[in-house]
Amino acid sequence: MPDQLDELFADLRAETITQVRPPGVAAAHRTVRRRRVVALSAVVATVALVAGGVQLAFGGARAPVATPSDSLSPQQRAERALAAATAKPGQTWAGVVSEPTWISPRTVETGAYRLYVACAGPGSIGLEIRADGRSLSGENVSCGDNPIAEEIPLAVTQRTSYVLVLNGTDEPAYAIKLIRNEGTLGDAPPPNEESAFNAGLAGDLLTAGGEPHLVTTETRRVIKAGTFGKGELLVSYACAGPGKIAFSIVTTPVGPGTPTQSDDLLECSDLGSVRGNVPTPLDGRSTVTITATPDTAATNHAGWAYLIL
Amino acid sequence: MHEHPPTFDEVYAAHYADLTVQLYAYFGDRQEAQDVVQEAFCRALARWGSVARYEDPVAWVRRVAWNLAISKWRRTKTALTFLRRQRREEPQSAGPSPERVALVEALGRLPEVQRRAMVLRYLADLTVPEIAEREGVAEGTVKSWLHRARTTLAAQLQPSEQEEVRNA
Repeated sequence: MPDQLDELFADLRAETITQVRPPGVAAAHRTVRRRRVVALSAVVATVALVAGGVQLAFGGARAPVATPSDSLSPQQRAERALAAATAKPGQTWAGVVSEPTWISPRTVETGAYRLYVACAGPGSIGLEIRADGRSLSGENVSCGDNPIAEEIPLAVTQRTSYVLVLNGTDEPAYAIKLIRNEGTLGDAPPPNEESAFNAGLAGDLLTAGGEPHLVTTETRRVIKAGTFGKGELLVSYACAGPGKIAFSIVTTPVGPGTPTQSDDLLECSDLGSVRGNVPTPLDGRSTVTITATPDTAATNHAGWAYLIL
Repeated sequence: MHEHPPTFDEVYAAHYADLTVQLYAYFGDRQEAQDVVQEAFCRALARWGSVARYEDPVAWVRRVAWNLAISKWRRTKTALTFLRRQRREEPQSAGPSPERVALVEALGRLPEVQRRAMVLRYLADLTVPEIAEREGVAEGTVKSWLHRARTTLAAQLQPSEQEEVRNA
């Protein structure tokens, strides 16, 4: 039989080879190119997510805004918004949000920025960040009679034209400043191709469940994944490449309640590692924040992705 | 390290089909085998600057393909592949011969390690020491896997006496 086995396997090889239809080298190049493009797009998206995820008022912690009211005149609103924002140097955009208001800072170079937003009057304003015609992130800023400018850190990893879109009711006055930090991206280097590629690989592991968010590892990430209503979320995340990434998922109730935190260490690999469908119960409307801290081997080499269902 | 590293195109042209045959013998599904091998080549292409300088770039691609074959990646992809096939009409080709079907089916009934060892031995032409190193086991273990697999296959592929009489 051993001799026959040799023959049988030889026949199997000969017969199967004639039926193999290689997708081709061009297809491989297309796949790799697509992954890089997808991964780089994700880097831009992450900019906004990071921006939404880390909010600091001037004191270091998010300060309560003054009690909203409609007792101020439009002139007073404008003055107070401006006063709150102009405490910082740099160019200021200011006005009244009476309908969607578009602000176009000139092309923004890569780097780390602080976006200061102050809003005077009743209600709140919605701040949306767009680039290349796509919406990257939404943020809500509360208004008040004595507004305090909120500081939103921005890490811009791709030179492009960003647009800020403001929406508000009750015609609040706004003032906005964009200030570049010293250094770049919080002293993190720009993401390299390997990290972007590995983010694409990690995303591939999650695609069966939906459209994952891809993230590079040039720096520690704090990502506000979104605000969700009461119920149970299924959080999946994956990483690919060298090293390990420590994940922390924090749920913070919007109203009264106790935040929860779950920690995990994922050892990445060339094939990718997955933590799938981690049940994350929410007792009420809550914000979900994912923090990912790569170790030295993973930093700017590994990539990761997450998906929330 | 290669003095003149092979190009990606050369390695792809020379080894795509062979690797697919190996994975086909392991899965029993040609399309799935093609997907896994293509994915392995994509990963090689993304870092070809490094892979091409390895002593044996094909071994790297083969290892990734085999790892993918038993990984979560494959299980995740399977559902997508199924959906994709629902929408695609593949060109029809002549069906496989009964011997090929019988061999692939018999391989499919072997324990995974034995099946992998047989494929690596008979289709990838790896030696026993090479398989042992790849699998991280002693050479004696590989010999034992191969012996058991051969015995099982022989029993399954040997035509029964009744069939021999009928064929005669």
